[in-house]
Amino acid sequence: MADRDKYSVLLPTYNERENLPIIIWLLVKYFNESGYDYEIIVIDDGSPDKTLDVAKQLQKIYGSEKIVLRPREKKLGLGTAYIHGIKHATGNFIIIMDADLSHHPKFIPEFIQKQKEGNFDVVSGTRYIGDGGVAGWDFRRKLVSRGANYITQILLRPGASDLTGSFRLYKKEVLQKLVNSCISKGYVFQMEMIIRARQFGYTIGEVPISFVDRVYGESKLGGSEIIQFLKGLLYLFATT
Amino acid sequence: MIPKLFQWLLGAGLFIAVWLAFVLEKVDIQLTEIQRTLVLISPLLAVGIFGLVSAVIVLYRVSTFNDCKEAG
Repeated sequence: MADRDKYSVLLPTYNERENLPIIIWLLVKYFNESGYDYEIIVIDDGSPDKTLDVAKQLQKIYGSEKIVLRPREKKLGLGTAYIHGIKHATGNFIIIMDADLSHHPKFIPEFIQKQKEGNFDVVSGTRYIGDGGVAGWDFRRKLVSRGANYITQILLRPGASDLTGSFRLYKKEVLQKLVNSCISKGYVFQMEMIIRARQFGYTIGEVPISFVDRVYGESKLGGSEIIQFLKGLLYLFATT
Repeated sequence: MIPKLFQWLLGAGLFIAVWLAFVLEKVDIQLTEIQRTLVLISPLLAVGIFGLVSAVIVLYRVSTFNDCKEAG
């Protein structure tokens, strides 16, 4: 492929020693098959399970050109992980995804194609349209997800169907600007990113993805999560 | 751009202004008894219909939410 574009994949990790070899193997596989230039930036937040040691071994296998390690001392949050990663990224595009295999790297070539189609500033993976979907969700989980998404669509009219997903491709300078202007945490952070993108007039493309929730359980949909989500929603409703 | 909150307040304010004008009979339009009742309960109707339509849409979307079994 004769273009000069390079894609930096940011992988924030915390206790992912089991998943990291698989996700990196898949990333390398799909990038090599599609021929795009890439690098994988692993940002490990001092995982007690020694994810970093695994990452170092992977770096030996695939080379320090492709696997870049930018660890941090302790868990410092997603927003700052992105800022940290962008600083070290040499690509002109940044791909963010979960390292826990919730997101499959096979979709990345589709993200890239979609971006080229419309020269989009952001390409967002979506569970809600086309062939997109989820794996292993019961009725309640689907209902909460669809309900929350519906309310958000009504209140914010964001022009993107999946606001809380975290599988996205950004132009580097766009991500930089968005990260700097977003203050929310957790779920709401991803939502704020896409809402601000719309506010700044950036264009957004969408790619249907399947989402396999690896951390389904009390951690993700407890009462405090829902309250946090509603607070974030109201904050964006009143300010954007 | 005006924040979404104020867009909603503006819309709701306009609606309530028109509604009050009818309810308090400030407009010079003759309404039948049925029409008057309809106007009186129109805010409730609007909310009720919106809620009903929303519920149907959300349930439809839940039922068509793809289950990507092969991905699991």
